[in-house]
Amino acid sequence: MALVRDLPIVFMSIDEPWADDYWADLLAKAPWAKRVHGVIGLDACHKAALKAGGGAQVITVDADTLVRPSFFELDVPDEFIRPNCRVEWPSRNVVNGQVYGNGSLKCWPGKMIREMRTHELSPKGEVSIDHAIGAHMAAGKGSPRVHVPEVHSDVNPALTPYHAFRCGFREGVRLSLGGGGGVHHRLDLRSLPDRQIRRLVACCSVGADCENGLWLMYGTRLGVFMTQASDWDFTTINSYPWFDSFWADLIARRFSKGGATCRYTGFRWSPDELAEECAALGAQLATHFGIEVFDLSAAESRMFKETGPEPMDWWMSDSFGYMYLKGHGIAADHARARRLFDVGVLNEVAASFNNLGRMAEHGQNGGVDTEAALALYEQAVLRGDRFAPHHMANLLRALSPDDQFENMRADTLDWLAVERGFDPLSLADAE
Amino acid sequence: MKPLARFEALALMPPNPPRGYGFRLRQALPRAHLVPSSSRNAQLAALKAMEGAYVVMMPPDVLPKPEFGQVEPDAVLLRAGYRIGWLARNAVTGALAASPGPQLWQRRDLIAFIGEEMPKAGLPPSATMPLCQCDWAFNYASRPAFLAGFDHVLALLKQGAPKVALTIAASYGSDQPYADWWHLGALVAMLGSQNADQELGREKFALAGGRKMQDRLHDLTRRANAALGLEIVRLSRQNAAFFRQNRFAIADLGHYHALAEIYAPLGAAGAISAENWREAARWAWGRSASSAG
Repeated sequence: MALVRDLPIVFMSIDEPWADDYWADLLAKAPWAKRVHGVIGLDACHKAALKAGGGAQVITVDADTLVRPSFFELDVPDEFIRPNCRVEWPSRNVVNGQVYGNGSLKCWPGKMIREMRTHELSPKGEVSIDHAIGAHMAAGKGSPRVHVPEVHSDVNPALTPYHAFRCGFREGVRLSLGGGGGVHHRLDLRSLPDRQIRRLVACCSVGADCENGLWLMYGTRLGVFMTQASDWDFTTINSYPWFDSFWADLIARRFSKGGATCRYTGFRWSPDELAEECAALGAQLATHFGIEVFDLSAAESRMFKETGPEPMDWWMSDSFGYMYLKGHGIAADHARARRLFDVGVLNEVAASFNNLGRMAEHGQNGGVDTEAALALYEQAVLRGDRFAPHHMANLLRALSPDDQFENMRADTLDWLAVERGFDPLSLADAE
Repeated sequence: MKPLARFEALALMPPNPPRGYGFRLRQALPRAHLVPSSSRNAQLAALKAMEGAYVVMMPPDVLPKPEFGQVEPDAVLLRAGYRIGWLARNAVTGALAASPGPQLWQRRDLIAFIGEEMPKAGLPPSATMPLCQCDWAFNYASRPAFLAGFDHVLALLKQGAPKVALTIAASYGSDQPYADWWHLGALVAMLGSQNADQELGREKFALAGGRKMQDRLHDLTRRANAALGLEIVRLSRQNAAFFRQNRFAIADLGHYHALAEIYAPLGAAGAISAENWREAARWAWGRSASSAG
């Protein structure tokens, strides 16, 4: 296994006025850290980080992220030190309390960085606004991500109005398109998975208690609005020069000459006008896209973060188990897969009931047990899993081909799968 | 182990239950016996008329979701003599709590407890599963909502619960029916009152005399903040919806750890369960989620 403190770690900054302070903080905790500064383009920046790190892997730290000392006590198991497997530790956003990939610490395999073509380097005609979106990663089967459910960093993207706006805007675009691993075309916001929509709403609503928090929320709301309301090319968010112009020509002018001043840049703006515009955008989002965002006061924002601690994305244990089951990015290990699905069942993850059912049906990690499989599918169906109805239907037909009642039940289950967004018939047509 | 739907259940009915109370109970627990919470004799008679060794006890106002009936109690815990409990979700604040929550008892223990033949100290130990498929739905009238808020906060104060639990009790859920009455009960209890019925009478009298509920709640909130060093904010109905939506139905870390501790000494199967629950806790809450470096 590799200790984090034995791996190259690289701090990536471009134009952040506080970057020297954050770099000093990292250097105090990790004296072997390196820095890349001013590299234009997110893909190019990661390639520069790999080069600066000088190893077969590199851990990247964004310029708005403070790493906790606990991170340097960790190790990365050998099974994840593979050429196509990225390990990721989520970060806690101090403005809105969300814990997810924004500002996360990542351990990249060099091969993946060298071969990936994302953001500004995505192939012509293809869309990439995230390292996890699209088929631009090096891996043959998607982009294997090992999500470690531990927080070892805090991200504050709102240290200046401009950076808060830019980060919020990018997140608004990304999250409204489904976030990491989501789609790269516009979709009905109401069809986003529950946790995605909750996260998006929180990013649009919480943070009035923080310096420049309103800029982060305004940026997020505007990002959602522009992505959804027009045919504007949302891939322009990959271009920081575009952001510079957008800010200088349209946004900064609109709110300038007010009573608030940025401590880093001296930029002045009117908080009242900003709050008014932010609220108006919120109303537009509700009217046109059916997404309700909230104008929490500073006290409410503070109370939200203090009383509603953000859990991890607990269902990620299931995705991890699936990687072991199928050998995606890591060596297949059915016993480990089963353990992770068992853990998912304890946390009521519907997909884990379904995956355990599949393992029982196919005798993976034990003998074939169709009775157990049916019971597990039933639990998964009850909890809203979209694949389980189809698997259960197939098993019922296989077990009782001549039983009219069971066949009717199977037909109904297939309809339920379609209702939940999984259409086995269209899959068969496609094949 | 068979699912809970196949066990007999003793469901304690509140004095004036809302319409559909029995229907919702029997959707998940078809073998439920509904008896008044105020009649010990009726409860004992119902228990004695049952046949199985175990019985699901549903406290008043605790209502199961249909999937609760599919839950299978853990044989390792039952063999070790534990009562098994589950969490219930507060219908106003969205917080998950073990009390009041459903519990699976040995029938003979429950008969002895209700019949006052078994002191509280003699009760078998209880293990709470960090799972929630029930609602604590007290908010169908002013009286049960007030009393629930009052008793809940008294219990929190008695157990020295963290300030955050008091803040949630007194602020979350303004968009829910009868939430003001829950908050009123909670705040009055926070300020040191001990007699819920008397306080409810006083509050109703003052309201009938023209006092405004929202003014009263703001006043009590200010006083509770000053007295207990809290930062409770009165939420608008609209913003309260946001707070509740983002209260995930995930048990607190303490529930996971407590259960893992219970399992650990229970043989090989118990040790595996303990390890799985610790791992489940890690996926739900991480390892260092709250400690900023």
